[in-house]
Amino acid sequence: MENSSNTDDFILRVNNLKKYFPVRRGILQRVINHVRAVDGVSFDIKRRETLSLVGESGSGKSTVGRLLARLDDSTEGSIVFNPGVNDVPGYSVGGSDITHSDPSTTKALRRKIQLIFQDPYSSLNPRMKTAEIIGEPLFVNGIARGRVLYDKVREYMSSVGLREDQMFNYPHEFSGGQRQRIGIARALIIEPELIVADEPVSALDSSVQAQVLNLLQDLQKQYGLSFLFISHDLSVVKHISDRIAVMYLGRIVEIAETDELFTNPKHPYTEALISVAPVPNPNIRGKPVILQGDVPSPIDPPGGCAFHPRCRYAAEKCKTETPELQGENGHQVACHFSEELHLQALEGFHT
Amino acid sequence: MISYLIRRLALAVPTFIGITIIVFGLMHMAPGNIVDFYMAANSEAIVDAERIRQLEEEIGVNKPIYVQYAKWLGRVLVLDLGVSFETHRAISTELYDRLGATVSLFFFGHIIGWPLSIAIGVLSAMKPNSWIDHLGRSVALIGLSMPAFWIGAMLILVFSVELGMFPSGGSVSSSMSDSSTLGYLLDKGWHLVLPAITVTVRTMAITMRVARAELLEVLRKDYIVTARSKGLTETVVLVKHALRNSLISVITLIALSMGSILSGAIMTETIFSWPGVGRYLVHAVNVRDYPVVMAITLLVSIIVIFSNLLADICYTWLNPRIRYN
Amino acid sequence: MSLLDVNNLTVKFDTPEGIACPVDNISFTIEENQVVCIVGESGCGKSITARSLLRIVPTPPGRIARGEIKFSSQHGPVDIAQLDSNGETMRSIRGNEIAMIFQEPMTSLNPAYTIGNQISESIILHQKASRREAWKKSIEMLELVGIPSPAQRVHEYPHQFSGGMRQRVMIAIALSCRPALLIADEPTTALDVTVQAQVLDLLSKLRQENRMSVLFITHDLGVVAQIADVILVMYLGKIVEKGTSEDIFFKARHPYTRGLLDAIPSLSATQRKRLVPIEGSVPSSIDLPPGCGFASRCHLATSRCFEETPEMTSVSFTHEASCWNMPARESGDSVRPERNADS
Repeated sequence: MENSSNTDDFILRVNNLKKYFPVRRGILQRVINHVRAVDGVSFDIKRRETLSLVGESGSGKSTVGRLLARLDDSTEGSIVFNPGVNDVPGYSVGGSDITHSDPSTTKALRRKIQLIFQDPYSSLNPRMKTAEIIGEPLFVNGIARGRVLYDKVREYMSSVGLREDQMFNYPHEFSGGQRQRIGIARALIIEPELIVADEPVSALDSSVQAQVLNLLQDLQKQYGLSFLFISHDLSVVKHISDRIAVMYLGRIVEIAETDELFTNPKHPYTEALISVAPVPNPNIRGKPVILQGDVPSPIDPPGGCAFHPRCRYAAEKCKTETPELQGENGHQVACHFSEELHLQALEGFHT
Repeated sequence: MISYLIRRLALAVPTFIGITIIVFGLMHMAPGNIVDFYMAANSEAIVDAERIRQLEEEIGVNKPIYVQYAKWLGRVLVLDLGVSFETHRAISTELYDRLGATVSLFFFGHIIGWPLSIAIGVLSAMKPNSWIDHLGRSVALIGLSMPAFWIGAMLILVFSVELGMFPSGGSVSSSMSDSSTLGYLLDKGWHLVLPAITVTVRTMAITMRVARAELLEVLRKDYIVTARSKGLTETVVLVKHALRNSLISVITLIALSMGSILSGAIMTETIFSWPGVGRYLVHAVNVRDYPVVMAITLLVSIIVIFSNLLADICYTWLNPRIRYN
Repeated sequence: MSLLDVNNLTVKFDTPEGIACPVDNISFTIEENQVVCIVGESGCGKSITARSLLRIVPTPPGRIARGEIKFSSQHGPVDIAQLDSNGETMRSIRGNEIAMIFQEPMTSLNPAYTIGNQISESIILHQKASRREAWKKSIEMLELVGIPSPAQRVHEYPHQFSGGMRQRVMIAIALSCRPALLIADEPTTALDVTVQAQVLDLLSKLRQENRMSVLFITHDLGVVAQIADVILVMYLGKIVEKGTSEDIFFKARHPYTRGLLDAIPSLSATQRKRLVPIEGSVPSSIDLPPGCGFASRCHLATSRCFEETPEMTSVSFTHEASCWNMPARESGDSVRPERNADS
């Protein structure tokens, strides 16, 4: 990442981000330990790029999203928004660390980074009409009200594929896919630059998933957006991403461009994930790499490489030394043996 | 669990102190003190300032309030509840004489009332919209919408004044002198019926509604489907898998309603001239017999705090997921 | 005779809004040692179908309005649709000859009882075993489903198990009486992919060892492709297409099946193409208009589709579909872009 051309190309740079949640116990409720939800994560997102975070529950992928959207404060590390545009007029926030920004900066940032949630059922206030939900960010930020606001709402409703006459309907009158469209319109209406989409299609029926995925791709082109796409579904991630970061127990274990990751995985966990992702083709019944056991608790993660208890290639070194994320040409991996292992790629499993 | 209990007990100490300070303060804010009542009672109509001072000195009510409170607290810490201003007898003896009547009222009221109302609630939940469900819910609604003193008065009016089926007050007929005969016991039970109904009807109404709602909720849970899919009979599904999980809310309710149950008992004892602790408390308040009021307050708050603690212990038995740490 | 033979099964629900028909005149069979998958989106009736087979659809509001469910029980053939849902015969089949596992392992076990208690419950009930024997059998079952140190964990409560482990416990309960048929209702949907792989692997291993038939219900075509012998595609309470795995994935004839296959992103797609979504969303199953249920979302629909309901028609010996405008077989072969690349 360091040797990339120009910082102007980036919209976001995250460096050694950590988020620990305290665990309390005992008579005095002392902090006895921490949930290491995010444990030193570094990545950057280019303009107009879709970067995906993929991982299982407990990997910390959603927490990263919440930290970027400033819904939570990080414990350590920095998030720099618009790293290259320090003094460009018009950007109220740029080039500075936003991890613990003051309230006014946070407010300005929230406009630039918007979140789309997983659950289209619970993320919309049931007592608000569609137009109020979509227009609320404009109103709250004092950008528009009255006629101007409603014109804006109409414009964005049509760009996400909702009909104008649905403006005054309540959320329960919509299907899951349409509710997700409302959530997307609400996120886009204040013209953000980065969208953090946390499992945006997981709760939708498979026939509707495609509608929303297509919509997200269209809107990205139309508005020049950057995406941080968070998902557990490797097929969806492969379809939508330019680059993919694989997370395990609060850390990124591998990051690469999409095709590179699937043709040349370098981390044993990536190999296993690819091998077990179900493929809708009965002729492809490959030999999946079945990992033993569950993802360990992020309260007390295994020492060394956190993946070593489930890794079929693990050696002594893996139990004691934590591997750093490193590599060339944008393909980085955190594994002591990434150079020696010959891991199965996608095709390997699918013949 | 142990550390949780210790924490809870430690928290109970400031609660006790807070309650007693409030009650102590309130009692002293009320106009008049025991001396006024004493003098009125002993026909010492002539106001003699020296006599008043002497009596106040004797009882200790002339000291600043914090000194009085500190003295009282000091005695309580060595388990001495003090002496009644009015009768000069030890309060522990006075309470002991009256506790039996209150306990029997509580026992016959609630120990029968709770299981009965849970049973009706369960039956209603099993057959929603059946006649038993409608009956239970109507009775519950009536029970909830009437305060204890009103229910008591109505019961007296209908069953003793009009129908003459039950006595209107007291705990035993004056004709019963030999306390060892079966007749004496039956007479006591006869006197118990109306006050016992009065004291329990509201709690029963609430318990019934909560038991019904909670069981309906639990019956919708996935593990009930699992239990059915094993081929268990409906009875086993209900009793083993549903009931136990639905009892958590019922027990919470019972524990939380302990305070209002006790205040309902005070009302009931007064209406039915029941010679229990509740009526004694009302009397003690009227004559400003502070030590008695304080002693009963202490007793009630101990019961309330411990019943809450007991409920928490029950949770862990009902639901092993709840671990207090 | 088939293990299970469902004919014209129709389940109706009396709701305040009207009568819903979540299962509408469906027929299928399950042979011994066969894996049959029901695929469909939420609300298509796949779960109600499964629960009807065990007669655990809550009544009211649900009722079997029509049809038969013929099951070859150990004690001879029975029609489950005719049985008293709480009667002795039904209870002796439920959990014993037909067992079921569910989608939510986190909530499917009773939080108040130990794992051992919940496994041995079935064994005591159906095999007339003593408490001791049942407990011993429970430990064996836990071992069988791959729970480490089963002799200790049998004393633990559900909250001490992870999601994947709880689903293993559910499998242990279901298999404890060696059922002839296992109904698995989205058993891996709530699990992480690596755990899903473990559970699917375990299920296929146990199925072969026990010569058990499986009715597997899922919305995930990827999972279906891995395990199914026969696939039933359901839409709005009806089976719209049925066939072997080969039939459905490579020779799909119903526009809904084809639409589904085109709508989902696939790992094996060689190049990233724009997805082709099915427009609209699944309509409510109350007061359905006449005609084909899919007509309002179908790009091939003609006026006939809105008036007459198509019947299941045979396409080949193993393959049936219900559509008035079935595209010719030849053109159907080019639907899946990655088929040529992979096979």
